[in-house]
Amino acid sequence: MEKVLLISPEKCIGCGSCESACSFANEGEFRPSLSRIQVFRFKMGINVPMTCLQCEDAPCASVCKTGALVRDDDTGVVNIDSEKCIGCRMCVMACPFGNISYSSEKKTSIKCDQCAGDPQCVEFCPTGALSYIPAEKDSLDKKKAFAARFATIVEEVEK
Amino acid sequence: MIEIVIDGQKCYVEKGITILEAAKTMGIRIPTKCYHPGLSPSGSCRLCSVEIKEMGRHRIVMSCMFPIENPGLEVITFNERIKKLRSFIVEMLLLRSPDDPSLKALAREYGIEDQPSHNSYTRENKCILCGLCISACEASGSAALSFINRGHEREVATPFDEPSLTCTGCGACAEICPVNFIEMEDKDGVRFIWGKIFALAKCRICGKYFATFEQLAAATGNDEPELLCMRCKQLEEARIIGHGITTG
Amino acid sequence: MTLNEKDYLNLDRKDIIQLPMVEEVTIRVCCGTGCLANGSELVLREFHRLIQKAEDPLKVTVMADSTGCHGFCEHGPIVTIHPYNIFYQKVHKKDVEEIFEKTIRERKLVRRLLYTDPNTKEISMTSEEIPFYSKQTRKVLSLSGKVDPESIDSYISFGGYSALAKALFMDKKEVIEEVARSGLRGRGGGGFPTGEKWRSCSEAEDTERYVIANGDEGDPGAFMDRSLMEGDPHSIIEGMIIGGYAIGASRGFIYVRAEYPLAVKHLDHAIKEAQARGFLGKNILGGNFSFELETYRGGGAFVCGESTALMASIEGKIGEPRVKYIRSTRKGLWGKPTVLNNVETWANIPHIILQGATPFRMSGTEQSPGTKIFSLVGKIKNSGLVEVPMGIPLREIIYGIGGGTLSNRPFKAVQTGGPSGGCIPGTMLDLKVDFDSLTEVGSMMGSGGLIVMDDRTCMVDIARYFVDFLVEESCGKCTPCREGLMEMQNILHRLTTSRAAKGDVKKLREISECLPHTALCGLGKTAANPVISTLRYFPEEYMEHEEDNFCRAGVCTGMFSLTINPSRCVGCHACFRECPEAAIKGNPGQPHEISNNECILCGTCLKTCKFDAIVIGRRRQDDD
Repeated sequence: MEKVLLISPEKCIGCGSCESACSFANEGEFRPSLSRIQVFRFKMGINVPMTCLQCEDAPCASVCKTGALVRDDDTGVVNIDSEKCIGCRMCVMACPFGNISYSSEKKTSIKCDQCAGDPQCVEFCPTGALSYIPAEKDSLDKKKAFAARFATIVEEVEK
Repeated sequence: MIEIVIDGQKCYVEKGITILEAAKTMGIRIPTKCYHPGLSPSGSCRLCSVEIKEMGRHRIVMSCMFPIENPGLEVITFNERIKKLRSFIVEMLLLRSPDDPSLKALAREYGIEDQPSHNSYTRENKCILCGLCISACEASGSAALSFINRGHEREVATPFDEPSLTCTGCGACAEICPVNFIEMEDKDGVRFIWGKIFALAKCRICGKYFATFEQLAAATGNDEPELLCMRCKQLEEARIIGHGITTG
Repeated sequence: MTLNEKDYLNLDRKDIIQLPMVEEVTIRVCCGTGCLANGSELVLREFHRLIQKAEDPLKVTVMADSTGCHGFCEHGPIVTIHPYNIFYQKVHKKDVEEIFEKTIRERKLVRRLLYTDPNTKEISMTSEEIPFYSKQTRKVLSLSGKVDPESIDSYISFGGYSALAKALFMDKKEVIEEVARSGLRGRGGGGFPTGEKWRSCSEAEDTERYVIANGDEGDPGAFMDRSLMEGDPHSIIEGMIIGGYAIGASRGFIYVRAEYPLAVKHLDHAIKEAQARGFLGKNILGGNFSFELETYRGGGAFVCGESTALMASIEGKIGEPRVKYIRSTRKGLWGKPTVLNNVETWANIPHIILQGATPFRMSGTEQSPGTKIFSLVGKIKNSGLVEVPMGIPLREIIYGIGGGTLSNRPFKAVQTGGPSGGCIPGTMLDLKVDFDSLTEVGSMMGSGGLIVMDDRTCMVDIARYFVDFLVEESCGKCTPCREGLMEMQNILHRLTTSRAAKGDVKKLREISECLPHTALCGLGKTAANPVISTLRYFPEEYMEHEEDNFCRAGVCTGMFSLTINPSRCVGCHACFRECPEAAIKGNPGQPHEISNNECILCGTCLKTCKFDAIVIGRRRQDDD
């Protein structure tokens, strides 16, 4: 059953629990820089978590020539097989959202795989800004709306 | 599924997969140097030898290439004979790259004492000619590299040793090289690799040089892509969404 | 010099012979590569010139033709005159006029151009009288030297293409079964049963199949495939068409070594002629079978003789071997089922089809039926191409046909199978030569090179020679062949140049044990054979090189001393004249001496002395 990881930025308080949970689950340490989800904090208390949208027609998977990035049609997740990654970084450049990165240390691209059906970021999100729900018309519409929202620029909070 | 025996354990594997792949599913480690799961195997380093018993005959095969076709195959991934053969290969590879840490680790594992080389050529670290860079480049679509010359003169090179027309400077070759032999240098907004000089794209927000224009164009299919590094691209997207919240 | 009675009798007979009157005389000039190099083309042209300008009308019609190699290359250029079947050897342009006047006009023999046996002094008029030929069984070579390689009519006149016609009336399966029953095994060296290969290919499911002839002969000293391609190209082509029919192929390739331009020329010409006659192309001989054939020139790499490298080369890729866990008969050229046979194997096919499997099995052994062509070279009197039944004792080839070692020195070893083969020691002279017995003693049939060595051949140096060759020819794809051979070369060079280190021979042995199991292709797997076999049969020579800095054969420079045995030296003064350093002292007629201080151990006197008076000894410790 396909499920979607839905982001509702208006509910996000910018606590960063998702980043910690993600890096711990995937890398074994609390290092937000290694997290597959990133929270961007703007002025006026606006916070936007960003992670892979598991695009249906994923540009990252279509530029990958070794089969390291393949979309699983059952779960809808674009999975990465790190062993097959040759480090060409084409996926990093192809992603229109900047949601896939490359780790020189691990010699592989890194992206969200929804923790094989049990996303830890959702688990630890205190406000419900992140939710993991069955892919139905309603939830898919919301996902699309998230990706499509754009307007003029707001300023990022100084770190 | 086919029933075979690896190191005395029965197991069921999919027909056609290699011994190396089958061994991996059972958690058995076989050393390799020219093998990469994302690329088609060439069988050139000869490190991954295993012994098989098929129809009563024992023989040595390369596990990275040997396809499991018939049930009843018996595989022995390690014994004294295999140890001897792999030690020989490690020793031969060390002649090319005597200081490589991964090879030195293998040498320790296989009990090769650090003996003075019988070889008369100088102790210089060279490419081990595994061919992974060539396969990676081919997979990426550039096919800028190939082997030239033969025998001991064999080398990896771009056509005519000149800057390649197809190389996008992605650096996958340097990234995949098991002995870190391929030189790639980023300096002052310029990348040097395989004798070619690439201007690097500068992120219009953070000002960081992040990729070659050629690779950016190849990845996005756009000759004039937005000059944003991955991190700033993500930030930009977030900013747009954030603005949507305030106004919408 | 006085002649004995036998000499006189011979002399008289050959001189007196009056040849009968005939209407037509054919002069055949061997234009094989060996004879061409010796000026046979000039000989042929001279014959043509004399025929044309003959003023007083000849009473006979004279034709002069070129033929392929006769095999007796040591004695070229060879001219045969038919129907008399006269065999003239070492014929040069200056001799042509004499042959023309004496043999064509006066119907007499030119005695000095006939072959004289160096051992018995017997003079032979025809090739059949010469032991070199009379002791052979020439089947595949039966037309070489007779047929004009550039004329399909000439081939047809000897019965050519009747095997094809016969095969096309047979069921495809029957053809394969006939070949299988013959027991023919691959003549390229592997010895794989040809019938089985064909059967496996014909059973592989696919829409397209290919046949290939491997003519990338690269072993040093081997030239049997060359001679066949140059001298009798149609027999190969006929065999391939039959093979193509049997397995259901529609295209074939003859992969010819780049250095064989004459073979390519003759084959290309033969293919064109065969097409024009309807033996090749669409609906061959009016039937349903269509087959195209083309030659493919190799790129000049020894490794392209290896089947997978050869196919890669035809595909336009780098001529490098591929890992082959799936047989070519299932996945070969362009991934399609392919039968690849050596040219000699193909040339056997017409004989098997025409005469049947049973007559084929009459010669040879149970496991290795038929005949095999060998190129007999090295320190042997009669160098050349010989075709003998499988299972013939080595002694018969070397002494019966080859006439023994060059200067009657003791026979030490014979190297068989080219660089991938091994050395068989003199003690095994009675070994029967076939696929299995050669493999048993650590050598191999290979493509059929036989390099004869006498006691003045250093076995370590021989191993060095072959390893040098292989280092040069290794493609470098796999680690053990590329690096292992280089290591072996380094060690062998040290052993033969007084730079041996302790443990060198042990290390050499270790590498030679690992190489066969780890290398990727046939070239690499067998590359250690020259070392393995010499180590096996001549270990003492290796130890002498490593431990005593001594080369008993007097080959490795600086690793022996030279003295003259006064009781053998007759004072002929020959060495005195040849010595480049004037290190030999002595007056004619009296035993000579070598001055150690001046001698540079070049070995010239060793080669010069006809009385075996030069003695090779160990160097004294203080020599250096």
